[in-house]
Amino acid sequence: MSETLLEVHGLTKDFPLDRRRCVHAVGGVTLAVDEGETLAIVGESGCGKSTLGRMLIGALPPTSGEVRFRGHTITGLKERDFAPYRRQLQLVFQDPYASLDPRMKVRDLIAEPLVTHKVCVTKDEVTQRVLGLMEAVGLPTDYLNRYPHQFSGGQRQRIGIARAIALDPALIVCDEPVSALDVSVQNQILNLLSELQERRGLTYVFISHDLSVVRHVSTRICVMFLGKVMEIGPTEEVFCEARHPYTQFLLDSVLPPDPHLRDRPMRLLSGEPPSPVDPPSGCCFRTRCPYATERCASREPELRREGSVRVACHRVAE
Amino acid sequence: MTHSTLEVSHLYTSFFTEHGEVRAVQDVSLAVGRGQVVGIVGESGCGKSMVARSVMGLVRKPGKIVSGRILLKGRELTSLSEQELCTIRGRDISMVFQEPMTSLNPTMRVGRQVQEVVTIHEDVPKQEARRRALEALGAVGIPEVEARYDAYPHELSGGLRQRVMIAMAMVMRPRLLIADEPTTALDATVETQIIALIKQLAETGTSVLIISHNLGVIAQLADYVYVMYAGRVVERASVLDLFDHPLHPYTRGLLGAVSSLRGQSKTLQTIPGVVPNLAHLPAGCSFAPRCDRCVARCASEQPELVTVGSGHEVRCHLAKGADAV
Repeated sequence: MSETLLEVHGLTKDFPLDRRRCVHAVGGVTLAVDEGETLAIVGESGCGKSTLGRMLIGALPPTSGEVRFRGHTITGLKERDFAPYRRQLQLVFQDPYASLDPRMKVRDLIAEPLVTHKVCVTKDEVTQRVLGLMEAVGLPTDYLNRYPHQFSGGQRQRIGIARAIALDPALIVCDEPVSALDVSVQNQILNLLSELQERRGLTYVFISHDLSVVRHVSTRICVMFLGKVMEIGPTEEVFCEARHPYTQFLLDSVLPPDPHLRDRPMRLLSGEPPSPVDPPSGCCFRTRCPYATERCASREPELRREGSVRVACHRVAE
Repeated sequence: MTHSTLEVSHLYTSFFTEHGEVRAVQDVSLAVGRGQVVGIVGESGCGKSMVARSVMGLVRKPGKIVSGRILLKGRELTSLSEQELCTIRGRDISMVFQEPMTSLNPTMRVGRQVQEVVTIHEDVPKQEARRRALEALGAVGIPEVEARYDAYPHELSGGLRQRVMIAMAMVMRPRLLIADEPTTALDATVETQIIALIKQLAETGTSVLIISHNLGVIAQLADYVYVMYAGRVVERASVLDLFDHPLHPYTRGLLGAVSSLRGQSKTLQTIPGVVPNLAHLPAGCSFAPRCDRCVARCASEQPELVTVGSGHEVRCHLAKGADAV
């Protein structure tokens, strides 16, 4: 067994709307990320996966619960005490167009983390490191003085990745890193991420709504719905034998790029997504679940172990 | 053969910018028959949305249709005035866009927006327009239509908003529905619902032109597929032919990239390089700089679209058994 790198316990995030109401974005998530693995977090928009990702790296303070990195609690630390952990925990954003300052040259964009964390002192040292990083992510080194708008989407994502690996982090949260890219470029970036993982021993938390991408990149998968974990386990096991009804619907909604499979009956989810402001009682998926019973409305299912998978469903627990 | 619902022939659409002429669409011909679903697939900047906008007469300055014909049920659209086009848009051809939130009026109740489409095109009493709007909203699967009629767009989920858009597009029962990335902004479980709805519309006789970068959407919906690259159609085939026997190296690259995600190999198949700049296209085949089978001729000579089998056309010098059309 590999060692646990990051653990979260009962992590919750509420965003207040007004005095009375709030959005329950993440509701009590407990999970662990092992050293060297890729844990995928999947779910539809508004399920809290990005909010969870930001709390994992300490970029967003949780309402309650704690995050532990290599056994040390990093929640509620003062900025000065948190600094060493920030170097270990990095983020790659979805939109490479919006996440880079358009007025900065590539050399300065990639140098920024090195300078902020005082890793390099002399100007020469910085340039050498930046060139090394550009090479590592497959950017032509003679583009050193170009601005973000002079790059394609895929190249911009490479800049974002170079910034994230600049400080030799242990864990990178990749938040939809290829969703804004074209298919042919998407695979280039996925190959780069897996190559970097192998060479640098990185651990990834890979947030995505694209299940075919997730199946390829991840070792374990965590399925979220309305801020809660529905199912978590080894990727292949979840894909081959999904236990939670929501996971089943989610997997069924993947449109196969194969016209021979088009006449199979489509399983459609009924009803409308519930509101995170006023979530249903009991199981949060029950208003859309075809198997829901009275028990699902009265009591929230716990995340229970079923072999190597954990599932939050009363029906599975039987 | 009787008239296709839509026939586009040798369409050229360009943008005249300070950097010169950007050829967004070059020599595109396509046909959509009655009740047929025709797909255009390609990556960003390949001109697929510009084909749709050209058909709708929605190319804005500095863009312009340079030449070509667009026939709707035999009627030429390119020579019509803006006023004439207005009577056709929404009545004979409708379009559904990617982002329902930006295409709906945020200050107007959704029912009224559907009703408005009816009153613009027909002189009918308000009650009748309302009845038809309700019917259209019901037909696209909106639950509790009476209650939702008075909702504002922000009060609806993304899936419901896209259904409202489709109801607006379908309320006049147009012959042709153009759907430009209709599910790209939606969640997977909602996407399958919208795909099922578009399938249903086609079964009742509506012709559909669907534009998407998603090969899954195309495989599930389209009867015929046009693959576009750098403004040109590079391959055209029935959906089964295209997925089973792709001929153009670009189509093969796209399908390979998608299917390698489903395979076991750790390294994914990619297409090297990037899409060319439309203002400075290479002299020969636009795909040549990224093509692993490129020969000397590819760099100097633009290949023609040639027929290689029944209804299968490809724009590649290396296509076997090709006879020029």
